[in-house]
Amino acid sequence: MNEKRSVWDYECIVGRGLLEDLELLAENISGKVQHVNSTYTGGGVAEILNSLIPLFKGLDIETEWNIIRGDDEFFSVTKSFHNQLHGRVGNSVDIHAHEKVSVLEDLEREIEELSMKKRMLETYLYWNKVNAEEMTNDGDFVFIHDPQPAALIHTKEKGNWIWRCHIDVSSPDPLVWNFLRDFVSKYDASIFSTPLFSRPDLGIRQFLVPPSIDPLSDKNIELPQSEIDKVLDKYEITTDKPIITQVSRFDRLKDLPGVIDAYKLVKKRIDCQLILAGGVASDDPEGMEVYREVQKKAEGEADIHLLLGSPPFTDIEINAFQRASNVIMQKSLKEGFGLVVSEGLWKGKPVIGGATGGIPLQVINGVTGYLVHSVEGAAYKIANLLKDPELAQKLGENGREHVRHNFLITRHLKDYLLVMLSLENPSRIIRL
Amino acid sequence: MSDFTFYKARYQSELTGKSARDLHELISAMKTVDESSIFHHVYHALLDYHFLPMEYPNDFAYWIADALHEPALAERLADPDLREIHDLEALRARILSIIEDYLTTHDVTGVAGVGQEFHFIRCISVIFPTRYVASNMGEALEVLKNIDLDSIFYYFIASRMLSGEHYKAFSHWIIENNSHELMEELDNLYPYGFANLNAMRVEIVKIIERYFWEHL
Repeated sequence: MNEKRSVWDYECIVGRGLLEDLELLAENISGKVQHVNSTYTGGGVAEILNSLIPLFKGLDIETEWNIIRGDDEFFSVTKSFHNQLHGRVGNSVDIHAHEKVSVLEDLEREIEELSMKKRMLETYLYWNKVNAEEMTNDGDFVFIHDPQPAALIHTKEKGNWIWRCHIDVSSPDPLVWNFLRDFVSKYDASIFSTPLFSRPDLGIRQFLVPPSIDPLSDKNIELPQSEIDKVLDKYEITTDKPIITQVSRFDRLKDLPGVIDAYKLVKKRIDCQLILAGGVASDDPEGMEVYREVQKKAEGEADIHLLLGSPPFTDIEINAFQRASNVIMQKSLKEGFGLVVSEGLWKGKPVIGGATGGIPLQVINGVTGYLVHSVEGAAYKIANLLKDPELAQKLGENGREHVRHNFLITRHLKDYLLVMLSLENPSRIIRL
Repeated sequence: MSDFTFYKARYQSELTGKSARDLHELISAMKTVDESSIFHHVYHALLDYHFLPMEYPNDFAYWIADALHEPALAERLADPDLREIHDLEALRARILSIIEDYLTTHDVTGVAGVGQEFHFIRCISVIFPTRYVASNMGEALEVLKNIDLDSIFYYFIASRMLSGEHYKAFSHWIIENNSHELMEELDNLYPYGFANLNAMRVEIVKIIERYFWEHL
C-alpha cells in the first residue's frame, strides 16, 4: 500500500484545530513506523489500517504494513486463541476443556486433549517462526496487532515494539493467556481499547486508544439515494417496510439467532424486514458453520434477507444497507469494540446493542440508542423506534455527534502519534 | 511590548495498573497514584463533548454514585470548592479529606460489580505552540474568542495545575500590559462553575471586555 492521504481531506468533518495538531505532532516523530497483523481484508483491524496507513504517509511518516501468513490450521488455532482470550459462547474447540474432565472418568480423553493443545501451541510457534524469518521488522515503532503475530517480538533488534490488543482479555482462559503473556510482556508497551479490556499482570506500559471509523471510506461516506436504491435492487430488498439491519461476521458471539428471535417478536406487531449481512473472514474457519445454522433458523421467513458476502460485499453495499435501515442492531453476546456500532451511528441511525465490550461506550442508553440484555428487551426497543421515527431521528443525530467527537480515524491517528512521542520521552509532560 | 504565543496540549491516557472495587481501595490507591492521575480524573470530563449537562463533573463522584450507589458522597465530591486549590497535591488532599470525613459518619459497604471497577488512569501531556500570536491585549482578546477550546482548557486549567509555566507566562504578559486587576479576575475563574468549556470561554471574553470598557 503506497498511497498517501492528506489529513486535510477531513477538514469539513473535524475542523482545522485537530488537523493542525496532527501535522505538528507528526513533525516531531522521527523514524519508520511498521504495522503487522494477519489480514489485509476482513474485520475491524484491517479496516482501520487501510485508513491509517495512508494518513501516516500523508504526514510524511515512513510507514509499512506487513501481514503474517499461515495455513488453515494456524488460523484455526488463532481463532481458538481469540475465543479463549475474550470469552466463549457456544461450542468450539476448547483447548482448556481438559480441566473440566475428571481424570478418573476419562483419562484417555484428557491425554488426547493435552496432546491437541500441545499441537496447537506448536502450530502457533511454527508459523510465527516462519514469518519471523521472512519478515524484516526494522521499524522504529513496530505495532503488532492482536495475538496472531505476538510471538514476533523474538525478532526485535531495535525500536519501540507496541502490542496493540483489539480484543477483551480481561477474563481470559488462563492457559492461553499465560502462554501469550510470555511474549507480550517483552514488548515496550501495549495499547488497549478501554480499561475494561486490559490486564493487571502485564508489567509493561498500557496506553488507552479506542478504535475508530473512517468517515471518508467507502463504508461510511455519504451516498446518493440512487446508489442506495441500486444496492437494494440488487439484493431484492424493497423499501415498503421498515428495515432492521445487523451487519456482522457469521460468528456465534454476534448472537444472530437472538436477532432473528427479536425480529420475529416485532414482526407480530409491526410489518418489517430484517437484513442480516455478513462475511466470513479468511482467518475465521468457523464462519460457514455459523452461517448454515442461521440459515436454518431463518427458513420460511420471506422478510429475512440473509446475505452472505461471497465474494465479500463491497463497502458501498454495506454502507447502503446501513443507510437504508431504520434501526441498526449489534446484539452481541461478547464483543471487542464493535466498530459497526459507530458505523451505524455515523449514518444517523439509532443502534440497539448488547451491553457488552465496547458497545456501551458507543451506545449511550437512551441518548444514541439502547442497550439491551435479552431478546425481549431488543424487540421492545426495536418496536419503540419503528413506531416513533422522530425519536429514532433524534437518537441518530446524537449518535453522529458522539462518533464525530470520539470515534473517527483522525482522533485515532492523533492518539498513535501521542503514544509514539510518549515512548520516546518518558516524562509525564512533553514539550515540543 | 513582546509578542505572546499561545500554547495548547493534547493528552494521552495511560493505565496506572491501580484499580479499586470499594471506597477503601479507592482511598488507598488515590494516596499513591501520580499527580497526573488525580488531574485526569478530576478534569478530563470538561474536555469531553456532552449531550446533557454532566450529573457529576469528575470521575470519582460519578463512580461513587454509579458503582457504589453512594449519591450523598458523590454530591460532595461533585462540588469540592477548589477555588483555593492551585496544585495537585492540595487537590488530592482535599478529595481524600472529603471521602475520609464521610466515612467517619457513614458505613459504606458498597462494592463495584465485575466490570465496574475504578481504573486509575494517568495522563501524559504533550504541549506545543499554536499558530496564534498576540502583540497586544486587543489581539489577545480576539485569539481567546477563536482559539480551540483545548487551549482554553490548557491555559485556565491544565497549565495552572500541572506545570504552571504557560499560565505564569500569560499572567506576566497581561501584567506587563498594566492589567494587574484583570489577571486577578482571571485567576479567580472557577472551572466547576461552568457547564462546558465554551461557557468558560464566554466568561473569559466577558471579563476582558468589561475590563477594557472600564480602563481603556
